[in-house]
Amino acid sequence: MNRPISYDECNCFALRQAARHVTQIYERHLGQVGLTAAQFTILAKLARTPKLTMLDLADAMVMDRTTLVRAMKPLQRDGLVETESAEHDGRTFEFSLSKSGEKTFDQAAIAWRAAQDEFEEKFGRARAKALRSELFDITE
Amino acid sequence: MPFAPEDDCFAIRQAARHVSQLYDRHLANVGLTITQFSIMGRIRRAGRLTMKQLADEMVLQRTSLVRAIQPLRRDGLVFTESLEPEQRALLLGLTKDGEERILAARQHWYAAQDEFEQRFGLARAAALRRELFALTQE
Repeated sequence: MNRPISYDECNCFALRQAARHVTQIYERHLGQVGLTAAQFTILAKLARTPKLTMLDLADAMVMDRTTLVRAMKPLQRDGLVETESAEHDGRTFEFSLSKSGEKTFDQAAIAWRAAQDEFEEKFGRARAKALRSELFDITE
Repeated sequence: MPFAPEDDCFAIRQAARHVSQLYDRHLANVGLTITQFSIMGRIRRAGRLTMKQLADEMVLQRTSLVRAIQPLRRDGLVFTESLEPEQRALLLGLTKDGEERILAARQHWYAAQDEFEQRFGLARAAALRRELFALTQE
């Protein structure tokens, strides 16, 4: 128990460091349309399924509420995401993409493709696919 | 079926968040997050570190780092001293309480590691770490 812990053996460190590295690649591309990786994921989720609550989004993205709120703020401020009260409950808010949010998402999807290509050309397409499958097994 | 099955960035960020939550749950027993545990471990190893060295080493943005360090300073686990004459460069060190806290945190880190590896598989976790470190180094 008292031997020093090496970073090489920490699963969490390995994942977090790799996540930061990959995020930097994607954000270099997504930054051209003014989005972070978290914001891109939020827009992608809302593009597919409109009228989601904060809780729906937090669950779908395995994101804690504070991180989600922090990522959402600029999207709301810039009018990319619209808010309305849920029909069944006026205190619950549902989020959807606005027209300009849809437009930004279309542009962001092109930037995302470029980032994905850059990463997979370097790392290998089959290798990236195998890695994704391992990673999704952790969260499923 | 995951929500973005083709997205490498989403896959790795989601897995990192999921596993961080697991480690955070264990380290909460000693009032730390995995980020704080990692920060304190690095300071301990180096003796003294500047904010910039730490940010570079951890590939973390300065704002995220400052946010993680604030509670550590407030609770007297980490101290800062300014480097004369360059007052802006802060040196970080562990207090005696900080030393004790990180030693107490270790067993919880081991418990988190065990929980993850029992579920995911020991050899499989080792293979995954190799891929992840290779990815970072490329």
